[in-house]
Amino acid sequence: MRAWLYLIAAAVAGAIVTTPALIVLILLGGSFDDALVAGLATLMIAAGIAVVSMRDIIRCGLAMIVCFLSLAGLYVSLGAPMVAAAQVIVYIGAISVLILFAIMLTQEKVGSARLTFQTQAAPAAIAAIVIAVLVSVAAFGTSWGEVSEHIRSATVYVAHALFQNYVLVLEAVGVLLLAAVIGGVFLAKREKGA
Amino acid sequence: MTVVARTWDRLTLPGKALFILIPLLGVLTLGLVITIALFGQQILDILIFNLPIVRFVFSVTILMLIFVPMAFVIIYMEMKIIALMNLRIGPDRVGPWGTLLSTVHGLKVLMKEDFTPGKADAVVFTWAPVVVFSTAVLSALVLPFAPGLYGQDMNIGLLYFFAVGGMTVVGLLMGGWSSFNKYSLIGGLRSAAQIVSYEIPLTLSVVGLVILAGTMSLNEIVIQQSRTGWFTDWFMFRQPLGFLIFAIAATAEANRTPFDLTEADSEIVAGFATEYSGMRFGFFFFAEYINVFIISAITVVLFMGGWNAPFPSPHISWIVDPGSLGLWLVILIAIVPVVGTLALAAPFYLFRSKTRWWVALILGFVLFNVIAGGIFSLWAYINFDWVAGLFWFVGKAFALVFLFVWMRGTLPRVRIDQLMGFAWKWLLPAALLNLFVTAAAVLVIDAMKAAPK
Amino acid sequence: MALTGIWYVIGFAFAAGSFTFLTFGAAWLISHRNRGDMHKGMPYESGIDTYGDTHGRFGLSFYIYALLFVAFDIEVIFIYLWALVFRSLPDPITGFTSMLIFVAILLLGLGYAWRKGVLSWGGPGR
Repeated sequence: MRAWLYLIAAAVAGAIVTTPALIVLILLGGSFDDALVAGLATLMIAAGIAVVSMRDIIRCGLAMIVCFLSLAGLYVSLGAPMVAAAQVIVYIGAISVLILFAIMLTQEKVGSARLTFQTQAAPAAIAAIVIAVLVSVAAFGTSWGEVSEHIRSATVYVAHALFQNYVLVLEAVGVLLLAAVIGGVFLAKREKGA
Repeated sequence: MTVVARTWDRLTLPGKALFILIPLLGVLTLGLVITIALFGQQILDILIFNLPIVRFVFSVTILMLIFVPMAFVIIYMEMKIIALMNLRIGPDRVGPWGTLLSTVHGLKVLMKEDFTPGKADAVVFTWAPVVVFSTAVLSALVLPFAPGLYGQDMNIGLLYFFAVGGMTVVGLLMGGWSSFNKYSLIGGLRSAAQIVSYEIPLTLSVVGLVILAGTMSLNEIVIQQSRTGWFTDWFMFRQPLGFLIFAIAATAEANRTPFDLTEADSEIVAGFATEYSGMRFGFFFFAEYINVFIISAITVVLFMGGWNAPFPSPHISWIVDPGSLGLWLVILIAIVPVVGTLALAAPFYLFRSKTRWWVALILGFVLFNVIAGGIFSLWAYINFDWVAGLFWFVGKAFALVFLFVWMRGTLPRVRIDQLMGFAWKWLLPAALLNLFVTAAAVLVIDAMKAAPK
Repeated sequence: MALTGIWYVIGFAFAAGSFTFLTFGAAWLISHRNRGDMHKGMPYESGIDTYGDTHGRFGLSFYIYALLFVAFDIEVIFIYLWALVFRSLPDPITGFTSMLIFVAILLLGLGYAWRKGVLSWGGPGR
C-alpha cells in the first residue's frame, strides 16, 4: 500500500510544480520557453521550501541539489550555459557532495537527524531581506534590452573580461580558495589529533 | 475444467505473458500498417512540420533502445573473455556460445524480489538507481556517434559531460546512505571519494586538448581530428600524457579494475549496492556497464578521432538507386533469396551425404543471410557517411571496452591509500604539467608563426 | 529555438526516469514478494544480527578529499574558461602567467595538505 501512497504523493508534487508552467503556457499565452522558466522557478522555490522545512537532514541536502539543478536550468534559459555548467559542477558535484559527506560522517543516529542551527533565524532573515533588496535594485536598475544582446555570447565574453581586466580578482579568488583549503585541513587535523 | 482452461493453467508465467503479448503485438502491427496505408501522407506532413520534436523523440528512443543490448553485449563480453583468459569455458548454455546468457540474466533480475530493508529510507533508496542511470543516459546525450548522429551538439559539450558525470556521486551517496547498512555507507563514501578525487585529473587532462582544439563542442573536437584523414591527427598523439592520465582517471571514474574498490567484495561485500536486490540493483548494474561504454566512447571522441577512419578511404561513388530498377526490383526481391538459399544449400546436401535436406536448407538460408547482409553493409558503408562513421566509432569504442575487460582479467585491485594518493600526488601534478607544457608550446608555435610576417 | 539544449536535457532525464520507474513497476508486478521474519529487514552484516550504530562516525579522511575537491573544482572551471580563449587573448603571455600564478597558489594548498599528511590515507604514519 505504501507504494501507492508514494505514487500519489509524486503525482501531487508533479502537479504542483507543473501548474505555473501550464498557466503561463495556456492562460498567459507564453511560449514553451517561458513555460520552462516558470516551471523551473516553481521547482526551485518548492525545493528551497523543502530544504528548510523537512526534518530528515539528508533529504534536505538532496532537495538542495534539486534546487541547484533547477537554478542551473534557469541559467541555461537565460542564455548562460557556462554559468549553468559551473553551477552543476561546483555546487552539485562538489559543494553538495561535501555537505552530504559532512552529514553522513557526523550523524550519530538516524533519530536525531534534525536541523540544530535554528538559533540563527534572525540573522538569516536579515541577510535574506538584504539580498532580496539588492537583487531587486539590480533588476530594476538594468536596461534589459541592451544586456540581453550581450548575454548571448556570454562564455567567451566573460572569459575575455576575466583574463584581461580582472586578473587580480582571479588571483584573489585563488588566495581565497587557498585559505579555505588550509583552514579546512588545519581544522580536520586538529580534530583528528584531539 | 475445459481444455482451454487446463492448457492455460499449464503455461508458465512467461508463457502466459507471451500468449497475451504476441497476439496484441500482431493486432497493433496490423493496425499500424492499415493506418499508414490510409493516412500515410497526412502523418508524414505532420511529422515533417514538427521535425525538431520528431528528432528529439527519435534520438531518445534510439539511445534508450540501444543501451539495453549494448549492456548485454558488454556483460557477455566480460563473462566470456575473462573466462577465456582464465582458461575456463565461460557461458555456453543459452544461445549459440552462450550469447543469450546476459539477456536471460536481465530477465531474471526483472523477476527477482525487489526488497527494501526495514529501516531504509524507501524514497531515497528508490531514487538512487534512477539518479545513477539517468546520469549515464544524460552523459550519452552529447556523444557524437557519427556525422549527424548525436543527441545534441552543445558549445560546452565537454563541460556538460563532466558536470553530468560528477552527478553520479550523488546517486551513489544516496544509495549508500539510504540502505541503512554499514557496508553500504562505507561503500558509498568510498566510491564518492574515489570519483571525486579522480574527477580533477580527468577534467584537467583534457584542458590541453581544449587549448589545441579551441572548442568544447565534442562534434568540433572530432572534426578537428580529421585534417589529413590519417590517424596521426588524433589527439592521442598530440597529447600523449593527457591521454594516459585521462585513461587512468577514466578507469577510476567508471569504478573498473584496478580501481574497483567500490565493489571490493572481500572488504565491503558489494559496496553501496549491498542491500539492493531485484530491479533496483539491476539498474545500478546496468548503469555500470553503460558507463563502461560511455567512458570508452568519450575516450574515443576526445583522443582517438571519434568517427574518423584511421586512414583516408578512397572515394568510391557506387550508388544504385533501387527505384530505377522498376519491376525488376520486385522480381529480384522475390527470386534472389530463394535461388540464393537453394544455391548455397546445394553443396551441403550434395557433397555431404549425412546432411539432411532441411538441415542443408537452414544452413543455406543462414549463409545467404550472412552474405547478403555483408554485401548490404558494404554498400551502406560506401554510400553513407554515417554508417562508416558509426562503424569506426563503435569499433574503436568496443576495442576500448575489450581493453577494460582485459584489465579486469589481468590486474589486481589497488589498496585505498594507494588509490587516493595516486590521484592527488601523481595524476593531478602530471595533469597540470601537461596543461602548462601544452599552453607554452602553443604560445611558442603561435609566436613562431607570427614572426616571419 | 535557442533553448534546444535544455529541452533535450530535460527530455532525456525525464525519459531515463520514466524508463526506470516503468521497469520498477513491471518488476513489481511480476516478481514475488513476502514479508519474511524480522531478520529479513535487518541490515546485512554477513549473516549475524546487526550490531551497534549503523550511521556511526567514520574516518574523516573522506571529508578532506571532498574539501580539496571543492577548491580544485572551482579551479577547473576557471582553467576551462581560460583554455577556451587562451589563443585569442590579445596578450597571451600575460594570460599564461596569470593562470600559472593562480594554479601555483592552489598548489600551495595541495602542498600544505600533502605535508600535513592528509593525502596519505589514514594519516602521516604511512
